[in-house]
Amino acid sequence: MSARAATDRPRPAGRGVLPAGTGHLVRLALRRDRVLIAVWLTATAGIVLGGVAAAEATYPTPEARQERWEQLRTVPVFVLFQSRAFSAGAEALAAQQAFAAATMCAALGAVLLVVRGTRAEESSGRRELLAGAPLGRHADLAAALAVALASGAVLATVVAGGLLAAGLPAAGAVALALVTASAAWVGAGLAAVAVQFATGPGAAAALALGVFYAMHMVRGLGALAGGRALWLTWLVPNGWLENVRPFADERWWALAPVPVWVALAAAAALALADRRDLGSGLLPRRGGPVRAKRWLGSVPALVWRLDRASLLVWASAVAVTGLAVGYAGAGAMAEYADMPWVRAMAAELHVAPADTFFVYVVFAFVFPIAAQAVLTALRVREEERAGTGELLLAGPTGRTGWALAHAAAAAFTAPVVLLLVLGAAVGAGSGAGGGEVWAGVARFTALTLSLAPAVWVVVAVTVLAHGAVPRLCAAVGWSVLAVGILTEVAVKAGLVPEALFLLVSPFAHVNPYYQSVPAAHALLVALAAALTAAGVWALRRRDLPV
Amino acid sequence: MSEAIHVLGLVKRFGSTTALDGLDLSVRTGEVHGFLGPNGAGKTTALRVLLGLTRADSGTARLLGGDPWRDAATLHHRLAYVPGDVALWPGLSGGEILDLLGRVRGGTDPRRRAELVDRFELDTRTRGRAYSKGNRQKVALVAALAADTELLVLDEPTSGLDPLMEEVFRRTVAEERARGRTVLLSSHILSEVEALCDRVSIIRAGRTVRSATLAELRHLSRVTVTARLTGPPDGLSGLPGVHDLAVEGPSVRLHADPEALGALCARLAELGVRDLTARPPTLDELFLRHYAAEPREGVGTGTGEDR
Repeated sequence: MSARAATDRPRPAGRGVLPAGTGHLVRLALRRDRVLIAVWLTATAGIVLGGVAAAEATYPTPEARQERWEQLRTVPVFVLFQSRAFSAGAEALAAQQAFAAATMCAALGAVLLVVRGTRAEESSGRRELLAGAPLGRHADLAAALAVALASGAVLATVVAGGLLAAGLPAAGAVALALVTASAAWVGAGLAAVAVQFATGPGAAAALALGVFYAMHMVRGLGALAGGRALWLTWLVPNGWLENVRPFADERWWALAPVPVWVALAAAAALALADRRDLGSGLLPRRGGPVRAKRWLGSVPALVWRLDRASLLVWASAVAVTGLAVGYAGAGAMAEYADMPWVRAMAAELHVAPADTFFVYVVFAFVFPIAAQAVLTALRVREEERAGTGELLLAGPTGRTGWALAHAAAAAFTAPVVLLLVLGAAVGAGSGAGGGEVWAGVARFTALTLSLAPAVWVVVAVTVLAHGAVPRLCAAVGWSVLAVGILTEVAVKAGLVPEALFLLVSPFAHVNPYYQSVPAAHALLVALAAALTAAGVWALRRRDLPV
Repeated sequence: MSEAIHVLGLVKRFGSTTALDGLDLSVRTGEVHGFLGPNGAGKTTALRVLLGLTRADSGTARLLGGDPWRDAATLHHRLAYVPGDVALWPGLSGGEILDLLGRVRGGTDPRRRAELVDRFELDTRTRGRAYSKGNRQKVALVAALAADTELLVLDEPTSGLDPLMEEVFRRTVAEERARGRTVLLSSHILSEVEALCDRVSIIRAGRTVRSATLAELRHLSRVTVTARLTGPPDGLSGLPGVHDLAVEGPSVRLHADPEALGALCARLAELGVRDLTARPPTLDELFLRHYAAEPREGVGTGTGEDR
C-alpha cells in the first residue's frame, strides 16, 4: 500500500517556497485571463511605443521641441497630471507625455489581474470549490501575484524590444520599459493588499487604483511645487519612476525601491490574509435598513439607488480635479495667453486664447466620463446575467421601461451630471485663480455640456448591443469608446486621416476643431435616440436571459 | 372547470439543443399543480415561456386567458414568481428588496408582509450579497406570497430551505390554495409534491410523459404483492397482468396490474395463503419509473400510459 500511495500522492507543488498548488492556480489564471492579459499588454505597450513613434511627428524640429520644453516648464498642469520633463530631446519629451497614461494603464491591468485571481474568485464562491483541494492557504494570492509580476516582466521585454527596434538609445529604451513594468509591479502589490480589505472585487480594484492615482498626484504636487517640496516625489513609487528620467541621463538607482515595495506589499497582504476568514474583509460588513426609503419604489429609483455611490465618488473626484486644474491653469494662462503657440491653438479651437488650455483639458476628461457612462449602461446586462432582472421582469415591469430606466441613467448620470460638475469646477477654479467665478462657471458648463451628445451616442450603441447582441454587449460598448480614444490620439499624431476620425468617432463631432457638419450636436442626439429605440426594439424580441 | 394555464405542443430550441419538444400542460384554476421531471427536462424553460421571458418557437401557451409573451407586463400583475436560483441586488438589504418588489406591483399589505417575514424567520437587515441560498429563496418567497395574486409560479422553491422552513412553506401553500389561489409548483421533493399537489405533470426531455392526479398515477401503476403460500406457486406466472414473479421457497413476490388483482387474489386463495401484503407503489418508485429509461416503457400495461 505504501508504495502505491507514495506514487499517487500529489507532488507538493511549492517545494517550500510557494504555497502548495500555486502552479495549478497560475495555469488557471493564465487560462481565465488570457484575453485580459493580451489586451492589457498590447494596450500598455501601444501607449508607450505609439507615443514615442508619434513624438518625431509631433515635434519634428528643434524649435518645436524647444517650444514644448518651454510649455512643460510653464504650464503647471502638464507636470501635475503627466510628469516632469528632463530634457528637450524628442525621446525624453515622448517619455514625459507617455508617463501618466503608461503607468496608469500598466497598474490598471495588474490590479485587475490580482483582483480577479483573488477577491473575485473568493466573492463568487469559486474559491470555495477549491477549498477541499490540497492547496496552500494563500496559493491564490501567490498565483495572482506571480501572474501579475511575470506579466510585468513580459511588458518590460515587449516595450524595450519595440523601442530598440525603433532605433532608440538602448539605455533610455530599457529605462522606459522598466518604468512601465514597475508601475505594473507596484499596482500588483497595491491590489494584493486592497483585496484583503474590501469584500467586493469592484471595491477592491477601485481602492487599489484610487491609491495609485492618489500617489500619482502626490508626485505631481511635489514636482509642481519643486524646490524644498521635491522630497514629495520620493515619497511614493510613482515619484521614483518619474525620477528614473528615461532618455535624459537615466538614474537607475531610482528603481531600487520598487522590488522592496513589492516584497513589503506581498508580506503585508499575507499577514492581513492570515487575520481574516475566507470571504470576509478587514472592513466590517454593515447590515442594511429593514425598510426601504419611501422613494425606492420603481425601476428608475432602483437604478439610482444602485448607481448613486459610484456617481458620488466620481463627482467628487471630477470636482477636486476640475478645481485644481482651473485654479492652476488660470494663473498660467494669464501669463501665456499671448504666446504664439497658444494663440494658434486658440484660433484652431475657436476659443479665446485664455481658454485654450481648459478646452484641451475638458476634451481629455470626456473619455473617463464616457467610460463611467459605458459602465452604467452595461449594468442592465449585469442585471440580466445575475438574475435580478428576472426578478423584476417576472413582475409587472415591462422590458421597455426596464431598459429605458438603465439607458436614461447612463445618459444622465455620467454625461450630464459629471460634465456639469466638471464645467462648474473648472469654471470656479479658474475664477478663484484670477477671474470672475460665475462667468467662468457659465462659460465652462456650456462647453462641457456640449460634449454630452457624443457620450450619448456611445451609450446608445451599448443599449443597441444589449438588445441585439447581448453576449457581445460589453465588448461593443468598450470598443466604441476605445475607437474614439485611439482615433483621436492617432489623428493628432497624423497616423490616420481626419475623415476616418470623423467617420468612426462621435467625439470628433463635438470638438470645435474639426468643424464636422452643421447641427452636429442635433444629429448626434437624433442618432443616439434612434440607436436606443432600435436597441429596445431588439430587446423586446429576444429571450431573457441570454 | 376553467384553466389557469393551457399549453399545447410547445417547442423551444436553443441552437442545436431542444429544450421543449412538444410540451403539453394544463393547470386548472384553484389547484396546486406539481411540475416534475429530472434535471434538464425543460421545467425552467417551460416556466420562462409562461412568464414571457422566453419566446417559444411553436405551440400555444395561454396563461390566465392571455398570451404570456405579448401581454407579459399586464399578466404579471396577476401572478408572482419565485425563480429556482434567486439572485438579489448585492447592496440592497432584504427589507429594501421586499419593499421595492412590492411597490413595483403597486404596493402590498404591510401586515401580510410582516406576518410572512415573521413566519419564515427572515432577517430583513442582511444585504443581498450576504444571504445564503436558502435565505435568498425566502426573500423571493415572501415577496411572491405577499403579492396578492391569482397565480403563483414556484420553481423549486424549497431546494435551499431547511426542514422546518419547508414545513412552513407547505403550510403557507396549503393556506393559499384554501384562499383560491392557483399554484404551479416545480419540485424534486416528492413528499412535498404528495403533501401539496392536486395533480402533477411529469416531463422528460421537453415532453410531458404523464399528467394526472396522484391517485390516478398510483391506480395506473403496478401493485407489489408478496405472499407466503402453503402450497407450490402453480399457475401464477400464467395469469394476465402479473409481472416479475420471483419464487423463494414458499414465498412469492410479484408486480401486478391493478385490474389483475381480483384474479390474482382468487388464485392465491386457491393456493393457500399464510401471509399476504399488497402495497401500492411508493411515489419514489412511481417517479423513478417515469424519470428513467424510455418514455413508453416501464409502467403498467399500456392502458392510459399516454396522455
